[in-house]
Amino acid sequence: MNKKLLLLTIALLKNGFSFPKENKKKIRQIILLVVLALSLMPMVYNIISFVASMYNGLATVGEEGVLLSLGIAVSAFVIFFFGLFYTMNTFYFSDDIENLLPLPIKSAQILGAKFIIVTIFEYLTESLIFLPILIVYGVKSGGGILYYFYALLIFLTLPVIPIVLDSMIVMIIMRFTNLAKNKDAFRMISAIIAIFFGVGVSTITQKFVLNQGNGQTQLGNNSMVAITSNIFPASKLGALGLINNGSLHGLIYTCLFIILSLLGFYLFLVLGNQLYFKGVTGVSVSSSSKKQISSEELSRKSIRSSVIKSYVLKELRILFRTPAYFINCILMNFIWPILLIIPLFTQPKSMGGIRVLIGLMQKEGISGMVFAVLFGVMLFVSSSNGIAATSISREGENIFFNKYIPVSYKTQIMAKVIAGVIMGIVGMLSIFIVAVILLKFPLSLLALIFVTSFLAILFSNLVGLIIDIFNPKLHWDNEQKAVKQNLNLLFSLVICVAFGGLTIYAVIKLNLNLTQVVVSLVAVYGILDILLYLYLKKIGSKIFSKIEY
Amino acid sequence: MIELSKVTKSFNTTVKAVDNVDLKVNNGEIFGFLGPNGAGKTTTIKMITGILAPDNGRILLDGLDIFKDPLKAKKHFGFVPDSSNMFLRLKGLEYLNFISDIYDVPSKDRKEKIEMLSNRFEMTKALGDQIQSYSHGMRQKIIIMGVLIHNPSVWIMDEPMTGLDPRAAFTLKEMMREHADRGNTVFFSTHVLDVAEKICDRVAIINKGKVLFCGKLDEMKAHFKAQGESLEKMFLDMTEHE
Repeated sequence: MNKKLLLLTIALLKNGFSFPKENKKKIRQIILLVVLALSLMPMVYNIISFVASMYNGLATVGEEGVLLSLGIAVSAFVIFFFGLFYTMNTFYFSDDIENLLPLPIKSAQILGAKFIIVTIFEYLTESLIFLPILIVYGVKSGGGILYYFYALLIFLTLPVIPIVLDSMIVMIIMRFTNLAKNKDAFRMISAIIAIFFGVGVSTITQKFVLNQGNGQTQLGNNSMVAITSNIFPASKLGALGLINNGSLHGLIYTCLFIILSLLGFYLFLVLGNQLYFKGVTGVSVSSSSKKQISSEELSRKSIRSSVIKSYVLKELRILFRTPAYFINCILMNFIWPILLIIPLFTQPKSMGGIRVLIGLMQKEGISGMVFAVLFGVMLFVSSSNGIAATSISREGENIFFNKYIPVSYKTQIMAKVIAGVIMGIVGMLSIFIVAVILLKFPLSLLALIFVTSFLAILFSNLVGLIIDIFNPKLHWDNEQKAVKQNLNLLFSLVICVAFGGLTIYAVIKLNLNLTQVVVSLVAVYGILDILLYLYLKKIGSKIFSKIEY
Repeated sequence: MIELSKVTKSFNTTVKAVDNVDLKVNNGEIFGFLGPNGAGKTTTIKMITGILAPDNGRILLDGLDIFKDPLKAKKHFGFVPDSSNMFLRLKGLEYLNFISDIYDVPSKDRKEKIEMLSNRFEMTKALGDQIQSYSHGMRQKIIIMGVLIHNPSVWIMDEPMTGLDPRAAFTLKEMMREHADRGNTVFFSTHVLDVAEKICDRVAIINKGKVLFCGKLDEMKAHFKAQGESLEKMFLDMTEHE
């Protein structure tokens, strides 16, 4: 392998995943990682048992191969979706390019190293979705060494084509927005365009596939493999390679799959050379208007406001104006309503399904459960933006500022919570607008959801802040590391999902009706929020005062 | 007024970054804090400003203990840190208003102050732009303006001249003198001995965490019986054999 490419990849990776130097912190980090891994175990178990039962069902009609092609196709789709963020972050927002360009390395090596980093990130995603499928299929079908060998090859090459697509979309858009004057703003806009574009492409192919698959084929002999793989054309090759692992055909299909991926990578290098460097240079250069502010404007803008308001505004301004924060913390709030709208347009039938759901919500008996599920979803959504869970980390080396200003730690902590809550509410309202206009959600129900969701949003932000205050990631050299490669976000997400799951479980077990659910959610989460607030106020302030860079 | 008594700080058990330091900076005084790289200047300044907690000792600002009464004490000083890469996504004016809100500057005062300071530092055309578009010197200027806007009695500055163009450095020195002459305190660290020699009323020299000398420049010359020698020569002699 190309030595410089390898060195560069390792350097960039190390730069991204640095463990704290102090032993105490290192141990804490490792313990947290173990806890995190353990908390994911039930989820992995659920995935495996789900896949196993799917295998059994499909095997009765001789279509167990669908599992593989569907697995490949779905994984490719998920990789593609997350890859949009990864490629944008790694290629455009990591701010390392200006340090790399003066070094004696070829541009293809920079491109290659960045590509490999994205691929490595994707292996993590892939191992959650695709690995269980590969293993279950292997065990159930009694696959031999060749099966596992092919499986490994396909596992390793699968992310290539989706990432090539991602980077092509991102590079083309970024190439043209680089011409703009206000680079930050245009980069953020292009991120939005890229996400819409990506989601659009995948829904259109999805629609196409669903329309095609309306039972024209005979079942049996894995003939459905061909249909499911329309979602991601190459998945057919991979699936067929695995299914026929005993024969020469298997080898040929697997080789074709790998060759196709390599071709994709080559295409990426060629296009990257043309587009990437022109698009990325000058990322960090920002232009100035050099306009004098008039006396009236100065008077208008220099109005005194309260410390907390000013602090919250500062937090939000920085979140909105820093591309890495905007994409990971702000845009996240609007992803969910978009994901909600798309299937409604592409699959009109799903509208009916949601109407049924709304009907259920007003029906006695089941309504409480549906409400609890919505509450759990809200917990997940509001913790996924990571505003609170990265709020101390985002201060980075400038954390000293928080310590010399005459603002109490309590006020600073609360300002950070409020900034997160505001964005959580904005995200919730955007879901509500979709719910009212398109789904004709009754307003009375929305009012109930608003009250409980507010408590959920507050809860997730308080939890996020507590986690970040204990172990903030302050040592970073570009902003995306503060939000993207910050485990605190993941920890708070896992805790919120666990609470959401527990809530749903309790509601189902206790068989509560809608009124009981609303009352108990308000009571339980109201008390939890107060306790967390008191904890943050007392202990959080103390810990904040001890944070040293 | 700044008072440090028996202040000690170590980052690990073996080496003391700041070792039993006593210092008193009086009102009406420009005080220079000198020392080679890694001598403990920034650590001392971080303790005075409440960023780091000392292991031992007491620090008073205008008589207020920075760790016992932090919020009150913090209102008495303005701080220019050694890194000026702060709040890069805020516009200059937004930064000044944010600082003014934090330090309770009334609307009327802040407008006058912003106009006066941006004129003196030639920043009138930069206030509408994000700080990240500023050059290093302009970033330094906006932070200095942020300190001056709330008119604290004690100025604490870590290498404030770094990156400033000659005119801005001159303006700053002028303002330091005016501030001290009004009975306030100016405390700053520097590598540039010329600056210290020209504007400081008193200096302290720190090396390896210990204060080697504290007093007027004339006293220093007398102390080391180095009549006629430059400050640079004395400084080098003092910090070399350790």
